[in-house]
Amino acid sequence: MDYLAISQFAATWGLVLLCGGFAAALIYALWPGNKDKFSRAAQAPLDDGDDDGR
Amino acid sequence: MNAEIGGRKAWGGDALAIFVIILLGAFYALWGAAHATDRAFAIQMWTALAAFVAGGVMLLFFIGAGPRADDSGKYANGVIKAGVIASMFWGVAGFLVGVIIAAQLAFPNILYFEDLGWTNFGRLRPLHTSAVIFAFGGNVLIATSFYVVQRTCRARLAGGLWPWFVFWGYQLVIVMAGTGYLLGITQGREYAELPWYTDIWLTIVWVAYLLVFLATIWRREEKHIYVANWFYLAFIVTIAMLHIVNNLAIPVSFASWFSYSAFAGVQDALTQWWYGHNAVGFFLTAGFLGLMYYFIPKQAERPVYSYRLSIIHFWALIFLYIWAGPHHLHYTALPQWAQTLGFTFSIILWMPSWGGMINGLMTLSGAWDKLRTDPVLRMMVVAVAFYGMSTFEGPVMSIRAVNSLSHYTDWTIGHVHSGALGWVGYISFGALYCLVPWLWKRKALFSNALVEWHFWLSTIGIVLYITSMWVAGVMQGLMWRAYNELGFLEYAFVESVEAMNPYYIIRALGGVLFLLGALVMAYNLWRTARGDAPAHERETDRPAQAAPVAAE
Amino acid sequence: MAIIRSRPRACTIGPSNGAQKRTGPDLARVGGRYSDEWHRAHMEDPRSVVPESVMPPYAFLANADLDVARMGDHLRVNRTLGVPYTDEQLANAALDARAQAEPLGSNAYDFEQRYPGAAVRDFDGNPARVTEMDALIAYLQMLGAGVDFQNLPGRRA
Repeated sequence: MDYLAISQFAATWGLVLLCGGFAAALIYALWPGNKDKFSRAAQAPLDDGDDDGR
Repeated sequence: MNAEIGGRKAWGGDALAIFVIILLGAFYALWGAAHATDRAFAIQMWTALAAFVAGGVMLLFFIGAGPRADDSGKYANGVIKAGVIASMFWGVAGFLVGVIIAAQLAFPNILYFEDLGWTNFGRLRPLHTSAVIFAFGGNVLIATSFYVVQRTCRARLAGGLWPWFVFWGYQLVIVMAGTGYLLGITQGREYAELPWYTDIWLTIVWVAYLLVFLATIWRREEKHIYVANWFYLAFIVTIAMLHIVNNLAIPVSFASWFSYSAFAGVQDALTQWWYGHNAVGFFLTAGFLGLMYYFIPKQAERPVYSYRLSIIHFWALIFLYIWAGPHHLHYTALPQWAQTLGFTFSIILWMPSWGGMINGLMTLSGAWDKLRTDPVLRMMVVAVAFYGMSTFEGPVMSIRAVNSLSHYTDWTIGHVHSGALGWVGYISFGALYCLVPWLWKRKALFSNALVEWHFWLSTIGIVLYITSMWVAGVMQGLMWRAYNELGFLEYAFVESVEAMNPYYIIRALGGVLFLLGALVMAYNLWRTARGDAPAHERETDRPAQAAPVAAE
Repeated sequence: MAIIRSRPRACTIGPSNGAQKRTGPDLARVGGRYSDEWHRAHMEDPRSVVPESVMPPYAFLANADLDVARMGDHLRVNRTLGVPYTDEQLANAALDARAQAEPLGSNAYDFEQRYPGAAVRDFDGNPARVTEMDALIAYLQMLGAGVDFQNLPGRRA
């Protein structure tokens, strides 16, 4: 792999991969079905219980 | 020795593996001390040998104490307590060295001893940056990540003795780095001055850290991994990658501290700033966002404003930050397109940064009154405000036209410190103020009044620091580019140095105030840990962990 | 071309390729601009020659003997990384490092054959020793000195 091949990969498939990856993250975050899961998850720091008893 | 109670041998696989690492380390240190090609390296190796022997003795005492109690039902708190103490210690030390080097620039004839190389600004400056970033910041990150991952996963820290290996191994990195800088040992790479052998040791410790963190997540009882852990994990993984690539080098000999980087010229500069900027992005930003997403909701007793936004914040940082490094190399031999790429991504970064800031601040919606009564929460909220401020200023400074004025000036130093003192410092202080009562099982901090003192002393300090450096930096930039009517430079460089003097004095004063605040904090935390809670405060103080404010 | 290298332990100054901050001026072309004596005075007490300077003193460098014995190891690693040192240069590295600071020494001639155009003189004003001060001044004196300004590519007339 020389410099040219790497830069061509970066400008084509690399770009598609990164954009696709970010789009997937966005879809995951905004997917309506995940809403309940996220609101439960957001409670995690608040009901993590007592140190000793668990 | 091999007795078993509750299924826990004294000589577990963890103890054995750590003992082997200590033995190998001690063996190399002894060989290095014997064959050292210079005095500085010999001192480093004797230091390492002493540390390995001390570590081995500690381990043997632990083993000798007999079978380990069955603690599988409890959180591991001891290593976090140690991390809190270490954070406070290195914090004060790092701030003190910062004040000293600020004074060296303000009053150039004091605090230098011409025949003592170790008092030289050039050696104390990396001592300061490493002490505050890696010793203070690193200990805060390791300690809080161990705390947060256990609570949010409802699982005890994995790995038996390995978390202690991470803690003590990391302290050894700090001692080796700090004493090395004083001896004149440095690779000359910004924020990566560690010599090759300390780099290797840090890699071993860091891999252990990653495995402890991953194994704890693996045994979680919660199905979903809370977002703070994502930020911690991104910090650990990315720092490992940056550290290894940036430090690829060939040592001159195994008995010498000197090495040559695998990179040269502009590739070297790009590698260094790919590392340098992402050390800011993943050590000083992503890691401390892990703190933000746990300690602010916890202390405010409300969930984070938008969990969805926190996920988008995370992935946007991951996808964008890694490209921003070339903005440190405007107007250099780096190709123009790479510079443009760097600053384009820096500007896009503004959006997720502010999304994250809004997320942190809005967590308080409906509970803003707590800012009045809870100085610890206020400190963390102000930290988030500083995060917003410096993530706005950063992209502006990365624009090529602005950079032509700001680059190489004290504006950069002011910008870095608004992030370092305001964001990293305050979110860490907030977390430490939370952790000491929680870990030492105290009802409240020793004194909220002292937290107020800390808050105002250091806030005034930060304001003095960043305003003086902003004025100084813009003045420097303008003086360096000023031409007279004949086309000659208007000012000699040294005239810009002379013009800086009043601002350097103001900056040093700001640093003194920030240091004083940290000393007040150390005193407060020490009294809290000891269990001193003055009676007159017990009534009005809001317990750190208890129900909403009772009497207003 | 000077093979005496300033070790980074000695200095915080240097040409800035990506440095964050100019506490001192850009040194990219400082070579030959000042005399060795000026540099020495500047290192030992910066404010004796530049009253407004905030630079710390580096007087301790004049008392630190340069470790020339392992210069060959340094050159060997550099060759591994692509710097075209010859076998002869590798074999004579320690002698050459010393010869550059000892113009009256027996190796001065051989050194100049191996490194044509390199400066050969006692840089730190103390002919009895080859110190880190020698190395640093030699390094400063070659910064930018290798640029051929007459034949720069794309130079406008």
